[in-house]
Amino acid sequence: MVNLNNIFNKFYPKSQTSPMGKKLIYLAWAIEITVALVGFTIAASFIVLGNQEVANATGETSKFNFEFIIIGLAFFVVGIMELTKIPLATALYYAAKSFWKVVFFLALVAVNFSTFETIIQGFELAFNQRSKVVKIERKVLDTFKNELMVLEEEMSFEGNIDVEINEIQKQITQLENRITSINTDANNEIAELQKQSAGANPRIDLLSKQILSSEQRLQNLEESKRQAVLSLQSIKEGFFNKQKQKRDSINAQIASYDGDINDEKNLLAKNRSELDKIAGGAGASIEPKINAVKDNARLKINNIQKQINQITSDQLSSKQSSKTKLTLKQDEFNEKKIIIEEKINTQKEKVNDIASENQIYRLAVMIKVGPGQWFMDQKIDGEISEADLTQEDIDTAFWLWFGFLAFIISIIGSLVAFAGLHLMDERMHEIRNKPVGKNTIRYRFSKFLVLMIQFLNTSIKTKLKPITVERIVEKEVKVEVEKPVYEEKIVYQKIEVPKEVVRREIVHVPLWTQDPDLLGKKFDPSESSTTSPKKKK
Amino acid sequence: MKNRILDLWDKYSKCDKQTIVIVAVLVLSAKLCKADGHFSQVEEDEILKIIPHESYQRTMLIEILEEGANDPNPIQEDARRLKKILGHNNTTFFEFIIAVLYRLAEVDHIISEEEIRDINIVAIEFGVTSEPLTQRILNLLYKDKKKTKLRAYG
Repeated sequence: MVNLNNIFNKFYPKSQTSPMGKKLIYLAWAIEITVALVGFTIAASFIVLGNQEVANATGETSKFNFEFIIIGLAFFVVGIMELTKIPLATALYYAAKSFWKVVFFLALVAVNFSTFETIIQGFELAFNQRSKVVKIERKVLDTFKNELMVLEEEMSFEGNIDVEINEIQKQITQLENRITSINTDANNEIAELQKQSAGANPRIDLLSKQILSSEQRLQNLEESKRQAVLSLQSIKEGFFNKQKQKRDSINAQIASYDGDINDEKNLLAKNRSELDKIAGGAGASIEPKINAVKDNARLKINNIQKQINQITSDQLSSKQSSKTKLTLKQDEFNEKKIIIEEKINTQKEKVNDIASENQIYRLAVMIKVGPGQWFMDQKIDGEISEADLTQEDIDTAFWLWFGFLAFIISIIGSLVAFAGLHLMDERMHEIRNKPVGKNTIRYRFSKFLVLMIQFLNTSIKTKLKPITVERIVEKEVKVEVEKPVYEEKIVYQKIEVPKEVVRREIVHVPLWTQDPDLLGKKFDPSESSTTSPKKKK
Repeated sequence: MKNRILDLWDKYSKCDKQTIVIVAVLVLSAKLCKADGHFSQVEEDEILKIIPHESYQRTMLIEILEEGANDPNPIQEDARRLKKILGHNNTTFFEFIIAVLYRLAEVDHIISEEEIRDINIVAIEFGVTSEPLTQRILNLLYKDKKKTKLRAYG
């Protein structure tokens, strides 16, 4: 039988691909019609649901709102626009001029974008409808979290006040240092004057030295006392940490400092009066000068003291009082915090129960645990549940899941249409059957690739094969000497086999008979030899 | 029933559909080339050039061409049979065959009236005709009452 099938396939190659192309075009239309139906449904839902909402709000059912009809019609147009995608794809495919190709491409991109929006809207509506309950519960959870945050902020005020008190204390310390330095300067000046006037009075020198050392000690004691007071203020007392013992010990230390300071002051006053007495006679001439220095120093010290008093009364005392109040409130805050945390935990469980039924929330958790950590630099401490998700996480999951899906749906119709058009296009077969010239870059590149693949293939094969190396190894070969095996020789002997010889013998067998013919008959052996062959016959 | 000689269609009726179509195209081509009185070597070469084939199939194709040229049935009959095999929906393929026939007709640089007549016959038989829109509407309205003048594409 003649078979020219291959000739037909070459003669009319379109017959091979054209039916499939046609099917693809039908499929593209099916996709586009479905997408258009989504648009129409959204349009209808805008009209119907919008009117229902108005009716529910106003209580009037008879009024028909035209605004919703306008919005609905806009979406109806979007639905119709979906149906232009395949004609646009066809126009783009067959466009001859680049200008029209660009125009149709832009139009197709615009229509695809519209499809993307429509599908996203559909997904968003569905997601919104499904996650309404979860959203309500999440709102409650957020309220509790906010409450906790506000409370923690209030609790952290104490820390801020401590910082502020420290700042004020620093200011005071600086001012006190200034007083000390003024005193030291004045004393130095007086001592210098006295030195000049006293000349060689050793008692004055001794007293001066004692006064200086007393002043130094006094200064040290005052510094130590100030440090003790500061440490007393910095002790934080809470609901769970009572530090009474520490406070008492510091108070005792401060009291001891006070005693020492008083003693030192008395000693200083005594030494000074003695020095004055001794120096009275000698240094009467320098008395006014010393007094002037002292007055000057006193004035300066008074000014600074005033500043210290002002700071203490205006700032420090108010801060300390507010700190005391906060310390008293701490117990109340802690109780409140425990209650809110319990509420948060209960609400979290509730949110987890509801949200675990929702696909997007589950997906958001998976994304946060997986790709979120791998690609988005998100860090998770311990386990994460649906309640721990932020709005940002949910939005990311929505766009990753529904966004990609909407994108694919929006372009797949056009792509399928393009595929169908391509399969139905006879130019494709012409291009396919065109022999590739040997001087073209394409041919050379493909040839190069083929050679590369062959080279790699053979090199891998040879690498994988076990290498056989020929080496001359000297081995002692044991030469086996064949020993003669003596076996008994078989001797064949001719033995005569005795042959059976049949010999005729006459045996007399007496036969009983009453036949008269036989009775008295004589036996003739010749008769018996002649009758036997006949019987055989 | 009238007894008739076993013709080409009967001979290849058991073959595949694709083979029959190629045979039909060869027969149509041969009959078209013969329409102006002579089937030249140039025309034969052109047919073999149009029909892609391997070297071993050349003899077979020439035999079929000879059979087609000697077939007594009119070209209209072959076109009708081919359309019957392919059905009414393969307009693109019918157009393709008409294009092939046109190419064969002008291979010797002279398109005779007989060749044009035969191409028109085949085109009408295939239903590859063009008519104005108004005429089409009228045809639809008066389906059986009015016959319109048809002409092949091109």
